[in-house]
Parts: sequence; structure tokens; C-alpha cells
Amino acid sequence: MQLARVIGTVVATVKSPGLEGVKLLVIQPLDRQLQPAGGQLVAADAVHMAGPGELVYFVAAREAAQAMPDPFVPVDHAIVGIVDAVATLDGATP
Amino acid sequence: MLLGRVTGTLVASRKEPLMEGWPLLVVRQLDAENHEAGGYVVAADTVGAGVGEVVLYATGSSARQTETTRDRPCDAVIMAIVDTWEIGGREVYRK
Amino acid sequence: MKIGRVVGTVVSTINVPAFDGRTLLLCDLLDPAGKPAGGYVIAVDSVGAGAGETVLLLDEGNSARQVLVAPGAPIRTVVVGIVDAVDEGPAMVVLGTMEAPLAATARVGRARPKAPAAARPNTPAAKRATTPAAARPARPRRRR
Repeated sequence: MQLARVIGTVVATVKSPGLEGVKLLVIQPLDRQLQPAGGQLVAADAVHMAGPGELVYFVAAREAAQAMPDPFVPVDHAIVGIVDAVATLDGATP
Repeated sequence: MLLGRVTGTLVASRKEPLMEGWPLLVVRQLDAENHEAGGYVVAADTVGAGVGEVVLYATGSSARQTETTRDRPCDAVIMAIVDTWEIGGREVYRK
Repeated sequence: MKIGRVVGTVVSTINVPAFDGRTLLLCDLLDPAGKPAGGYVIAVDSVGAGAGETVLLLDEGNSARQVLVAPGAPIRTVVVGIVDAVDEGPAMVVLGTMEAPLAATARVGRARPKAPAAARPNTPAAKRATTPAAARPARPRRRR
């Protein structure tokens, strides 16, 4: 899993079966100093409560679909938790 | 499958009980020209490979397909010791 | 598997149910010599690893679900061992525990009406995982 910041939402009316009602969010993956790292992604919101501005963690690859109500869906990135706090040895900087 | 050279061993006395019983080796990935490709992996050894040997290893869920690692937690396994390989008729490596 | 060093924890109360009660460890990826290799990963703990410890990271979903006894969980990366030493070349690199004071830095997302209990650093899981391993007594061996 990696950290990411939710930066937007995606609305799609026509979706693959099994994705009805699944919220899609644009996320910016972060390094552990919480700085942007790598390209932005669209991830399915498996916690149903993530929104723009929030710090989240997401899982990639096959395991992303496992987070969905129907695990046989074409989802390759899923938000699986909203971060309350990050505690690090060297102190994460905002 | 990827080519790699065994460069070391790893000791972890406290580990997941289902992973006990096989050696853990440090494998540096090789490219087709027998140069180090930059990456490494810690792999379970099922064939008795030694430090310095060139091996074939598999990663991901395929690593759970050898007799030793079947249905056990493993994401990288050494499943062959390479004797030789050639590219376009040119022998790149011989043990 | 990869070698990593536990550099912190991630605390979360709103998550997929499979993560309830699990400790999420923030781990820097290391090369076999014990130096940072660039990058990090958030892994679920299965051995009771603490901050500063060098650990073995398993990154494969079926294995992760098996180790955690969590069928169907969307989890791929698990801490499955604590590395004592890596012997590569003439010198054996003994990867001990990096000792450094733990700075807790809260990065709270969107404001929520009630602060979740697990976000407070005095919960047992948070306290255990954020205490440098050297300062802790020996861990009890996990039973299954």
C-alpha cells in the first residue's frame, strides 16, 4: 500500500457491470514525506467515505478488486483506508 | 522467470512459521548479457543453490507453484540452477 | 521478498473492515547492504515488528491473506520476518535496530466532528509499534 491525497472525483455513467455505485476518485500518490510522487491515478473508493483533500492509503493490482463488494471487477487501484495520523522515526513533514 | 545471481544469504530467526524450513537467499537480477540489472530480491531456495551461482527465479503468485512452496507464503522462489545460456548462437554464460 | 526498515506507523479508523485491529507499518525499502533503496511501502504487521527494525516484506496477495488468516482481504504486503543479518560478500551486514527518537506527526485529513480513539498515540497498538524495539522487552512468541 502507498499513501495518497484525494484531489478530485470522476463521474462515469457508462461503466463495466459490477461498478455501479462505485465512487471513483482521482488520487495523487505521495512519498512518505507526503510530497507528490509519481503520476495521478483514478482509484475506486472502497471505504465509501473518502473525499477531496483527504489523506488515504490505497492498494494496487489484483488486491484492489478484493476490496470491492463484487471482487470480480476491473479495478486496479482502490482506496482502503483514510489516514488519521502518520507517526515516523524521523518525523513526517507536511 | 528471471535470471539472477545469488550474492548472499539472509537470516531472519523470527519469522512467519509457515516460512520455516527453506533458506532465504539474496538474488541480484541479471539481464540477458549477464550484467546486473539493478534490482534484487530475497528468494526462497528450493534447489540448493549456493552463493555465486546463476539461477532462475520466479516472483509473484507463481512463486507458490513449486512443491516446496505450494500453498505457503512466498513471493519469490529459486527453481533452477542455470548451467548455460546462449543468445543468437553465442554462449553468454557457462557455469 | 524485500528488505525494509520500519520507520513509522499509519493510524486509520475509517477503513475497509479487513484492516480492523491490524497494525500498518510504514517501511522504507532497503538494499541488501541495509541502505535505503528509494521508495517505501505500507505493510500489515504479522510478527510484532517495531519502529527501527529491519524486516522482511512479502508482497503477494495470496500469501498475505494466508499469513494473516484473512480470506478475501485486499491486502498484498505483509511484514513476515525480522532480519537478523544479511551475509553478502566478505563482510556480513548485521542489520540491527536503528535507534532514534520517535516524532509523532499527525497529518489529519478533512476535519471530522469526533477525533477517533485509535488516532490517539496511547492506544496499545500504536504505542507498541511506535516504541523503538530496543526499548521494549522481549516479545512473546506469536501463537496460532
